[in-house]
Amino acid sequence: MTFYSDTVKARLKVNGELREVIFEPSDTLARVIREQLGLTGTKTSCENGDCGGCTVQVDDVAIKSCLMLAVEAIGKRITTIEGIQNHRLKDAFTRHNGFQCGYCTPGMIVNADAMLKKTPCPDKKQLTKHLQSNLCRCTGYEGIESALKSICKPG
Amino acid sequence: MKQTRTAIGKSVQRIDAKDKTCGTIRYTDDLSLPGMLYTAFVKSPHAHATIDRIDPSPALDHPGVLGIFTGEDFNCLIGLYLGDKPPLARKKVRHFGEPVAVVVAHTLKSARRAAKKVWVSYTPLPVVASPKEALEKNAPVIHDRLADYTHIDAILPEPGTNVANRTRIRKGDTTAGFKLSCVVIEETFSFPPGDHVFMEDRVAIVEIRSDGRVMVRSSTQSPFGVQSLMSSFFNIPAGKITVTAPPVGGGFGGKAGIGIEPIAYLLSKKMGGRPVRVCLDRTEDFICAPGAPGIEATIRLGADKKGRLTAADIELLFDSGAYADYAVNISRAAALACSGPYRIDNIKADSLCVYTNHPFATAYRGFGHIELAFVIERSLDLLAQKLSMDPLVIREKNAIQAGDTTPTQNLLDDNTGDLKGCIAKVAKRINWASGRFLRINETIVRSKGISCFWKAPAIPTNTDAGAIITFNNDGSINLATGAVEIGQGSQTGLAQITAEAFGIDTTMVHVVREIITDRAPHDWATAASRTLFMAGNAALMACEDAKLKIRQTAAQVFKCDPDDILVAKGTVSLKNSPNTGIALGSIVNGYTFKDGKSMGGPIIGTGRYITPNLTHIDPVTGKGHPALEWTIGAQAVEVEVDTSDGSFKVIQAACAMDVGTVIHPDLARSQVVGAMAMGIGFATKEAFAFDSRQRVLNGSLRDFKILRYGEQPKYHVDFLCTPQKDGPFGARGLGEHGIIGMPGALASAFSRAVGSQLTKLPITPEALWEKGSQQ
Amino acid sequence: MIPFNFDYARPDTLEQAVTLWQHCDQKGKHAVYYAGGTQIITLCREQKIKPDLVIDIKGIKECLTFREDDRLVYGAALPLNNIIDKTRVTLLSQTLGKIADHTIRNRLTLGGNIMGYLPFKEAVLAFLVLDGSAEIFGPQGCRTQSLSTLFNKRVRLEKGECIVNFSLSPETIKTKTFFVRKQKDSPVDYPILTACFAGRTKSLTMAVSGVFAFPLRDADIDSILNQTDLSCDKRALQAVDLLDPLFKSDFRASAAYRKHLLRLAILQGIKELET
Repeated sequence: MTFYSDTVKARLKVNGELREVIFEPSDTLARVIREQLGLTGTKTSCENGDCGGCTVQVDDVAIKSCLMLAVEAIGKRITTIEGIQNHRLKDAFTRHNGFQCGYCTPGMIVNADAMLKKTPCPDKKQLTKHLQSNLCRCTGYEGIESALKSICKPG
Repeated sequence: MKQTRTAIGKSVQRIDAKDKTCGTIRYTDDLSLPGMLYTAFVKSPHAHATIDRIDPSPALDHPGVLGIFTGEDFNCLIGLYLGDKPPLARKKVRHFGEPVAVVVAHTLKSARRAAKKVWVSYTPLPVVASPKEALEKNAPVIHDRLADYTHIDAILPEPGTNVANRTRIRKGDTTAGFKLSCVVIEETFSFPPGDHVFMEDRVAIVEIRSDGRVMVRSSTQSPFGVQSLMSSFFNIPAGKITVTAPPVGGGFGGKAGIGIEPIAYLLSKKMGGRPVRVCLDRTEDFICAPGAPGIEATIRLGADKKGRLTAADIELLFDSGAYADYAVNISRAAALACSGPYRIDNIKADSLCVYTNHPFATAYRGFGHIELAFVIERSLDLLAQKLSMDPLVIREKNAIQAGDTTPTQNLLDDNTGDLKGCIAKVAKRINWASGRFLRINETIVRSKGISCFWKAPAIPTNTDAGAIITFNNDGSINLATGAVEIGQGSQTGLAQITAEAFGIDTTMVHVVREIITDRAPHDWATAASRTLFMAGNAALMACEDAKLKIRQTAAQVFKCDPDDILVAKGTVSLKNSPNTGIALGSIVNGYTFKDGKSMGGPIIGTGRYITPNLTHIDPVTGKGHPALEWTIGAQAVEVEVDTSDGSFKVIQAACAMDVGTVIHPDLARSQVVGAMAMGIGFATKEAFAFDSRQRVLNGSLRDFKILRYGEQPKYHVDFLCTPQKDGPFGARGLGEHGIIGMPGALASAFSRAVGSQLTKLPITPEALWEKGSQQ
Repeated sequence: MIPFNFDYARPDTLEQAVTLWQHCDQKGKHAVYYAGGTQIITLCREQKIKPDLVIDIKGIKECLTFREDDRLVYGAALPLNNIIDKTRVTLLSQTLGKIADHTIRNRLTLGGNIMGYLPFKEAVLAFLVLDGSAEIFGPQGCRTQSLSTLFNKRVRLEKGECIVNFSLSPETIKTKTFFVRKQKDSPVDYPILTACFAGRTKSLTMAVSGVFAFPLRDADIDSILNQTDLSCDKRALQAVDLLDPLFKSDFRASAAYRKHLLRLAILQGIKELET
């Protein structure tokens, strides 16, 4: 059995690095990532699981890190936007104007990357199902849609 | 001679693309200062109540708490145009969620925990639930000291009432105009207040250095506005205030005024100048900070039998909520444009900014024009129905053009966009001619709607922008302006303008991304869709200035007249022998001859812009010249409705807009599409829901819905190109406009679908079902 | 961000979990069983609940069971997506697939949805309409109980009990079902109506959520649905009239609209399932 009281001293595996951190059992992963690890690419816009700005991958699965305790991530592989290696995806967002203000972009890309790892060629329905988890207020989703369609095509 | 352009009109890569897609861009919320203190608000659970007592003692001994402050600690009033707002509610609260106390602590956790313990007792007061209610004879007066408030001359508050501003338009003779009418419609239209829902919550960090300098870092669209307002609120010399505006995670007008910076300053002062961070959480951003105004409007609109508009009598009541903020100018802006993009020779309009007990309103994309357009476009549809006329035809017939006059009696010149051309474009895009209503089966129908819009920036008569360019030894240019990056991509556009002026690649222009008031040239605000226009003009002037200086240096190198020098494509050469060129980089920071002798020194180009010839309006008739440049366009939509339960899908949406020269086609399209999406949300979802005591029921992203992926229609965007002669390379503003006509077009289509004219927003499935089932 | 601290335990066995709960309770402290955390973290952030101890049941293998053989068993701590992606019970994947959004469903668990604080508990609908049961572990040990008796507006547990799994009979894979869900205006939202139907002529069952303050399967309503001597319209009308006092009215929808939607859903349900 694992038990934590007061503070947790742990090593988190983030973007391929082992990072020693001290936090409280009630600290959310989002806060630890931003405030302790300094990985501010992960955005907290609602801290309520509604916007998707804080999406990270935990063992390659997209997770809203505002709704996960950091203690739960011990021993797991955390990937934030800073650790996303899918440059094709990022370039597609650039080419197709899949962003404007950029605040939702990390969450959107992390989520899309997780989707593509599992479903390399998602159809329209699958795209919608996955991307409905992230809010974007600027683009009207047109650029995001064409960015993803452009790389979901083979080649 | 047609010039070949190197940068303008090309969809170059955004300068901030890598930073944004890699998550390395830093917004205000990402900044942390050593010794920074955190805050949490205690918020009112009532929309209108007297504050009887605040007892902070249960919270004071919480570990980490440094202080708890209430309205009584800050005896001042702040406000953008009208000083009506205490930094924290004093004596009474005027809207649900109004902050009544604030905790300052070493950590956010401590602050939030303690805030929950502060004990406040209230006596509820009768609430004012709408502008109409606010104007009733015995309505509670929300600001009983209105007479004592300071305000700018351009607004006219009416003490003893809930009217914060009234703008009058009197053009022609409406009595005579209505006599010429063969059909007249009279209707009331309304919608509740809403919110911007930018993804980045508002945040400000303020510290006061030991020498008295006030350092403000804020998610603001208006660093210079914050600087000058803080200076006047707190009597600090402007030069002692430095405002830093990092890139902003969406503004849409909501960060264009002044918000939480003053309270952060006051708290820093209480804390001996230590950096204090005021950051709103999502719910606070909804209910404590200002959103979009609501409206109640009544209109009489007449037309002759050919469908030509003869007269309009309009009353616009803007729901400003508890405080005036930008709404006093929003109501004014709507008055100035009250005819919509149509020729109406006889107009009487009163546009009022009215206090209610709703969360207050500030600038919101469209700035009064969404409200106005909803009223006018719905009215045109009603008229068309009465006249049995195609809604497109009535718009074409009345489309404004050069030679017509605006409601403020300005003659429109040949810069005026081609509205008929825009109407034709959108009609073609959604195949208007093939029919406006189609029954798919027993319950499913498809229908179309059309609308037009116009908007000019509603700005002070002295709106300005500046630009400074300096050079690097590789020949690249640094461009500094006061234009904040809020997602719109203006900084990329400005780089293109600068690149074009020098005939170089856009990648050779480095734009200063973070705006800091002590080093950026003054700029009114990144708002009103005027950044590219004004900062663009300033940048062009800076380029010309720099080129002149380069030619002067080069003239000494080439031993010729400066006029014989050509600066282009990264080289400086003699006009008639372009092969003699020397690299730009070898001259811009001084030129060194072979023998070591040097001359010139760093080239610094400066440029400036200020709105020429704008005037105030006459308080009785509204006559004047308040509008800089009008952007005009048309929109059309097709929707599919399941009439059995009102559920629907927006299938396609078209927008055609006359923007003059398109600087960056992809970014321009992206702006328009984004605005259209916002317009769809605005028309069909986004509104605060209140209970009978005017408490907000949906102040979270869980409950306040905006468009999600998959709900977007197929978008069509077309640009028409009637040049704006005074704009940079002929461009005019386009950032806000895509939202303006959407509610009108959607309401038109939905009305057709359910066979009943809709007069209210948001048009939800339930609203459609309700309307449809009344038929 | 949760502005207060709590203890966190991740027991390996059900016994450990329940003992932890009891110890905490004996000290007058508040313990919660925790699975996906999507509700608990939110409520903690808002300081609406303040547990002293969070007992994460994701380390307990019984709570992570997924099997579809002689019995269809779904562990309470399974994230919804793990069930949606694998189950052969169409109604289950349909219902779970509309809860929250895809990313949230990577965390939100079956047990959390049914046992949580929110009134919707849509995940229970399939188990109600398909006569499922639940396995419960508590201070008295393990017990299995049919949801028809266990569920009354919510799952009725004794102090300290923890849900281990929900299960269905394997026949339900073949049962004909029909599902409909309506939101106010957004694809990602709580329902204003979720209705699940199962069975065939004369054996139709219905369970609904979102229309009332709690999920409901009601024997009287089921029997109205099966009065095949009446027209579909009449049955639907009778059913919603009987339920009339229960319809909820809030900013998402009026009672009248919810009633209308339920009537439509019943009509569709009968049409789809009666053969």
